Amino acid sequence: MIPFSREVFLSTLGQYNSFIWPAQFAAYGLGLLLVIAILRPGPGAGRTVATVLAVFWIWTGLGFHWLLYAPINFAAPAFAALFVAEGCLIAFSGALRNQLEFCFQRSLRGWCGLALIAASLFLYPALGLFTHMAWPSSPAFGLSPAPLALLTLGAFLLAPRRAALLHGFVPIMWLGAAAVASWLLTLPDTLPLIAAAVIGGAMIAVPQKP
Amino acid sequence: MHTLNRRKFLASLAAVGAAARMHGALAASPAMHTKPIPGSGEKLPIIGMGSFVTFNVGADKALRDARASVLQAFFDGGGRLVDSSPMYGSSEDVLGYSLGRVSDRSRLFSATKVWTSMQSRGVRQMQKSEALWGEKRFDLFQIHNLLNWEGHLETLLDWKAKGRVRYIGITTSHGRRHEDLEEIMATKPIDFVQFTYNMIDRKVEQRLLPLAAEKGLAVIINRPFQRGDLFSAYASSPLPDWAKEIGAANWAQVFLKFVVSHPAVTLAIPATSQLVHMAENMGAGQGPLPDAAFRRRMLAHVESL
Repeated sequence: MIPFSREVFLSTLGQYNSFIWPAQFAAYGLGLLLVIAILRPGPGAGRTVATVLAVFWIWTGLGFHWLLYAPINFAAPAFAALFVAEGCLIAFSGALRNQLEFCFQRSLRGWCGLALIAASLFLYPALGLFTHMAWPSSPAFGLSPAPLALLTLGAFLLAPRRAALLHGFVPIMWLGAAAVASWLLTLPDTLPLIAAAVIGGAMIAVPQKP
Repeated sequence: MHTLNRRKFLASLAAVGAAARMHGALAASPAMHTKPIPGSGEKLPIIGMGSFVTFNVGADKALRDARASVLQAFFDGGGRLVDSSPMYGSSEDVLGYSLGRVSDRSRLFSATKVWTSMQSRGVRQMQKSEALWGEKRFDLFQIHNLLNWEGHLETLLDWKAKGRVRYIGITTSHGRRHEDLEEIMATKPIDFVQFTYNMIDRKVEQRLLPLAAEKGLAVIINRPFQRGDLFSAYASSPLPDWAKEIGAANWAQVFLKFVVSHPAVTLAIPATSQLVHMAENMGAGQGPLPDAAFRRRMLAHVESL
């Protein structure tokens, strides 16, 4: 049961993107930093990736869910708390304790991780070219829940399995919930979201070869 | 800055004309049927308006203005009772905005709900609803989905005794907690009850509707279209010839006339964001209503599809 229509969802996304403009450029800049830190890991790379993800999760929890969607969705405050908690967890493990490592390896899991990161960067702008989810009514990279869940799941597919199990749970659950919402609102991203949740979940569930 | 060329000017004139025709048609249509609130005898039009999803449009001014037009059409069509809830996001806020833009808000019979698990928070929520709607005294406060109904009923009885609300009620939807609702209807001093009833969800015919009649409770019906499922299931079929006999010009009116013609039902509250659909809904409150034999005929036809 979604308490708003597709028309209102897209309108509210448009208001959000207009309000935070030009933060979207900063988000892509941080995304580039994250990709470089994953592909060229060095001292502090894990901390960099974790910090970027934590900033995105806390921003999205407060800015998107709490400030933007709470007026039209009674569940939004709970979503805000979930996103802030995920951001704090990543910040604690990666930014404060420096316990997270991200490294691309030429394996199925590695390529899936990169594919999810690429999807988070380019899926929604591409959808906008062919559907009504055109800018500004499309989820912004890093600053909206679905692209952020894609990015985070992709990043943790490039991390040790234990970290992926701990930090990938919320993104997978969110992708599943977002797919259901997308289907109910007849939005065009239902199948990509389901595919991402299934692939990401399977990759995390299957133990890595030693 | 907007520019006005000949094409836009003519299009604007056409739009104004169409709107005038629609409002004129509604204003000139026959009077809507009314039914009395059993506890007081006060009469209510048999078609009200819900606001779940449809009025939850947030801060978008264009959408807010469009909803104000829908509310105006509802009043022009003879409607009075508007139902909402704090659960419906910005719906109460948008209703308040819309009420400030209709030509005559004195027609309003205001109905909202209290929806929180804490009694003390319920009082603050009710006060907030008054502020959002711009209502000094609600006509009807209902306890939403029986949530903490014991606590909120205590508050509402106190408010009613002090004249802060005229009627009190309790609601449920999609068939949940009917046994609890039955107990409350049988034993507590409420005026209204609200639940789901339509041509494919008729569970309430067994116990709740007869009990409401026995206890003298006004009955508001939500989901008269089963959240659009009735249209999905039947609206692709041609409108049956017998629809003319009850003055139904479309499937929406068939579905609504079935609901509001039940003797124990006071009114139905379909929700819409479309002026065309509002006109259809309001039309269901006019003309002949089916009797018991005709209702059986309607059901038999629908079940044969």
